[in-house]
Amino acid sequence: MKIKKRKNRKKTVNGKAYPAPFVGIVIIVVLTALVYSYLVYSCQLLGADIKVMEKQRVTLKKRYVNEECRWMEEKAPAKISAALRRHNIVMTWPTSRQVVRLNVPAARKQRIASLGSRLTTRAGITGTVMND
Amino acid sequence: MTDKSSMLRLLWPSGILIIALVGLGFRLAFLHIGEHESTVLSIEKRYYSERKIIARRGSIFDRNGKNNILSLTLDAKHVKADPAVISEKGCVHEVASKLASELDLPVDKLIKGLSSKRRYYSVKRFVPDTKLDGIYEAKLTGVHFDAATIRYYPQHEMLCHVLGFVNNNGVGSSGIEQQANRYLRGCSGVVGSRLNAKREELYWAEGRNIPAIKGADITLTIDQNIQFIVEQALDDVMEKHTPSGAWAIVENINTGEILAMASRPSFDLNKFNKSTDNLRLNRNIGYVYEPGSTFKAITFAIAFNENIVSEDATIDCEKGSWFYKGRILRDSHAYDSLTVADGLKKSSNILTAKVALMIGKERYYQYLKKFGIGYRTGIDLPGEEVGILHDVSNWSGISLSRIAIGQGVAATALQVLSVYCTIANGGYLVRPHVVKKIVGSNGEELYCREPDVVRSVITEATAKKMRRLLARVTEDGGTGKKARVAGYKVAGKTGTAQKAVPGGYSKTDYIASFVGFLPADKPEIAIIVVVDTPHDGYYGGTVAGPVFSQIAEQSVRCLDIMPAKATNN
Repeated sequence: MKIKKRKNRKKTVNGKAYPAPFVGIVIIVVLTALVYSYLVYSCQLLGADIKVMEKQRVTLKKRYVNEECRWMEEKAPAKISAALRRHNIVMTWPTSRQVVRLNVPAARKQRIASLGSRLTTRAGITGTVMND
Repeated sequence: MTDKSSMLRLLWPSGILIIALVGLGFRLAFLHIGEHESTVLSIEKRYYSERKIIARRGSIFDRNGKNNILSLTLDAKHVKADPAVISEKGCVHEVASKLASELDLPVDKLIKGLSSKRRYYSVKRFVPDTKLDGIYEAKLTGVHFDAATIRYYPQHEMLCHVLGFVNNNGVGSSGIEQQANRYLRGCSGVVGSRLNAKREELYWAEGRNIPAIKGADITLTIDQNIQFIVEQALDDVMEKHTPSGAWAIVENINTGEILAMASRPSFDLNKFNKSTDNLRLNRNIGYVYEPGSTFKAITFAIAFNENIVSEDATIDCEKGSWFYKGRILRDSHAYDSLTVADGLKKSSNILTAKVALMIGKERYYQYLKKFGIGYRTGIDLPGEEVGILHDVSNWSGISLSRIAIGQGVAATALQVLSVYCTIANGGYLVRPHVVKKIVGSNGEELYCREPDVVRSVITEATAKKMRRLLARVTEDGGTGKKARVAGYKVAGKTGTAQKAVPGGYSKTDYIASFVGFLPADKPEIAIIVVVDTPHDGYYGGTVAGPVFSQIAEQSVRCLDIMPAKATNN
């Protein structure tokens, strides 16, 4: 006897399912909108950061110029001279007899330079050595 | 209700509606076809903001570059107030006292200004940002700021006549600031940005962005240290001899570079608006005077160049008084006769006049022009005077004898110095200059000054002879003993000229000067010192000579000029 299969009413889907391409497009649009919003927001934040940094840069530049100006004022010959006077320091130029001048011929200068470089290489010094 | 009345009730609103729609249609068409552009522009303008960026003016350095800044631009503010708001809040006294103490202003005046009902009161203009910290912190009610820039000179009075100043509109008004204004001023920029409905900037939207171009930086030929030496020497002479003015220049004889140029009286560049025209005058180039005996070097140089006399030739000095063409010419010391070389050493007027007469006025005049007398030197500074040299056709019978000794002719200190530079460098007239180079904000070199030889005036042999003879002036028996520098041979000439007054020459007022170069054998620098109407002495040798010595002694060490092997001292 043929048994008639009964239809499970609980499994019946009521309503119509959206077609897959349509759902895909909607998801893409939503995702794009989200990404766009995120990018706009990030750009806004970056823009604000840039503005803050630009302001900082301008402030620092102003400070640098002001400090430079103050330094120039401090080391002006007139100011140095006044400071020396205030501390009872008398500075005079050396007379010609007090100046010792060493004239080294060009060839000898070259020899000294090459000797110096050889010595520094032997000593294992790679950088410039300054007797300051 | 009849059909007619209901029809009317339907027609009226329909008519009004149609008229409204037609009106709207016209407006729409008008907006799109008629003033479309201007409408769009006005909307755009509402959502667009643009602000000007002030270009920073270039800086001025001395010859050592960025280590020594002589002039720079600082940020500043115009401080302004809203008296109506301040009065309403009842804090006039508080605001006034704070502003007065921070900005160094009288309190009474501020209280009066802030007590009014006006909406604007200018408290102080051009206040440096550094002086506003206290006001910013106090957050005073009704006090606002406008951005501005000011030109600042860290050395205050030093080099004031050469640097010049910038007026309140940002335009260079004297000195280098005026001469090189087009390089220094730079170019303003613009930053534009789109705004949203809340007037907030939209960073992603495109806007006009033209960056400001900073003005070019100028490097001068001036040496800050030598300048200080010169200014100090002038201050000393101003104190010692209380003259009405004193001025000096130090120049490199080979290149024409001005190493120092100072003039007294002077003024503080940061308070230029409180100075007078007299203080602002750069006497080195803007004041002409009769050079007196310093002019004699020209006469002798011409005579030697034209082989008219030899240095050993003896000339009758008429015992100090010579009657020529109805006028008497006197020497300060009487001599029977002198050799030409000694005539220069002892600065004999009679001998010099006789030598000039041998040259002849036409030839003499041509040489004066070749030496640059009666012409601007062409220095890169504004306000240079030409001097006075009358055309030879207007010379009287005695003109030549007087011009030869520096009377009846007027020149600036720079012109006289140029003559001595010509003698010192072997006979070439070199154009003096103060600008060494100009570098743009992008580092590009816009201008670099090379030595500019105008012409050859005298031969090398004549120049050499003149150098030797001028060196005798500072030897024993010469008029310029006080201009000596230990270890160096100095060549130069003293000048003591009576000041020209209406109707003749003053019996009391003199211009004392000394011009020379060193080392005499191998000259490197030339210096001129002029003192106007000194008291307690008036001779060039005694008033200007020591100033020359003081400047030269320190300058040679600053410039590391080697002393001569054989000295006369």
